[in-house]
Amino acid sequence: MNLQIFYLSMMNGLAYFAPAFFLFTVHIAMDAFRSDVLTKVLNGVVGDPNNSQLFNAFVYTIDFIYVLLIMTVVFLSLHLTNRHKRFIPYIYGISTLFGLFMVCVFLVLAVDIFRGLIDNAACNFKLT
Amino acid sequence: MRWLLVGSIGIYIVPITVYIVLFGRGHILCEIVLGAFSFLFFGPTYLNILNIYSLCRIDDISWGTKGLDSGSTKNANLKDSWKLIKIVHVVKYVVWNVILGVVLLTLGASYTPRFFVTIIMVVLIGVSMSVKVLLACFYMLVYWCKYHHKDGLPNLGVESRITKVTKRYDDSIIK
Repeated sequence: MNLQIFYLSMMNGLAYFAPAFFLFTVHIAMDAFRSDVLTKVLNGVVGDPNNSQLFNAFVYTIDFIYVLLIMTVVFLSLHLTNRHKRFIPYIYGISTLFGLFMVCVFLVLAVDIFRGLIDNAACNFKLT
Repeated sequence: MRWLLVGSIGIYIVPITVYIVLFGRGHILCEIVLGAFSFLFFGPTYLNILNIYSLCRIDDISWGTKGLDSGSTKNANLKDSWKLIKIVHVVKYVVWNVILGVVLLTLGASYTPRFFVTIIMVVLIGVSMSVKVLLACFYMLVYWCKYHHKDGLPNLGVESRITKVTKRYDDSIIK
């Protein structure tokens, strides 16, 4: 019984901090997407992508959109009920966007892992 | 590290492949993929949106509270206090998440802390899943050992348990 209570409390604790954890995951995935895909695709378009302010702002723009969506949910939930006319389309839209975010994050991380497996490059991780 | 990744992916792929090869049921794979997709797609809704909505409607006492909305001064005070509790909870929720988000993003800016934060998150998720699986196996074992009847049918013993409970409260019910 105590173990069950501990487990449920731990899961509730994790769910309480879910927006922050999800933000971190989105940040990591978008960073990987920026360095692996955007760098190569936009190489000739924006000059040197690594020194472009606009290019480097991509990850923070996605973070900002995510925070904006979360704060919209908080604002709408505080002021409207689930039966309100305006509430329904906004929440459905935000829910769909979050779902797409999650699928994109999963795909980016999965492709990143597979690329790491296929490439013959040795793991160059060093503790600094 | 590479073999660790291969192993962790193999945990999912090998049983699915064996199942398909042995039982010849390819549609199971489609169900698994579709199930995983819908789980991924609706995960943020369950974890973020429903949690936030429930927290923001914590002062909603319109259900099961007959007479509370009669408009008396006492009830108005009660509603005000609930609103205050709601605001405090929502502000705490937002502030804690902002703090944790900033800490995680700051740690994620450089490579070594990001590695450790990711490992901690993976371990946390792994532990939570393992506890769930272990407890499920434990209860399954208890179920088979305790309630499995000799003639092959499970004996849940619901009636005897109900009798025990009613006997326990018999005295207080009679009083």
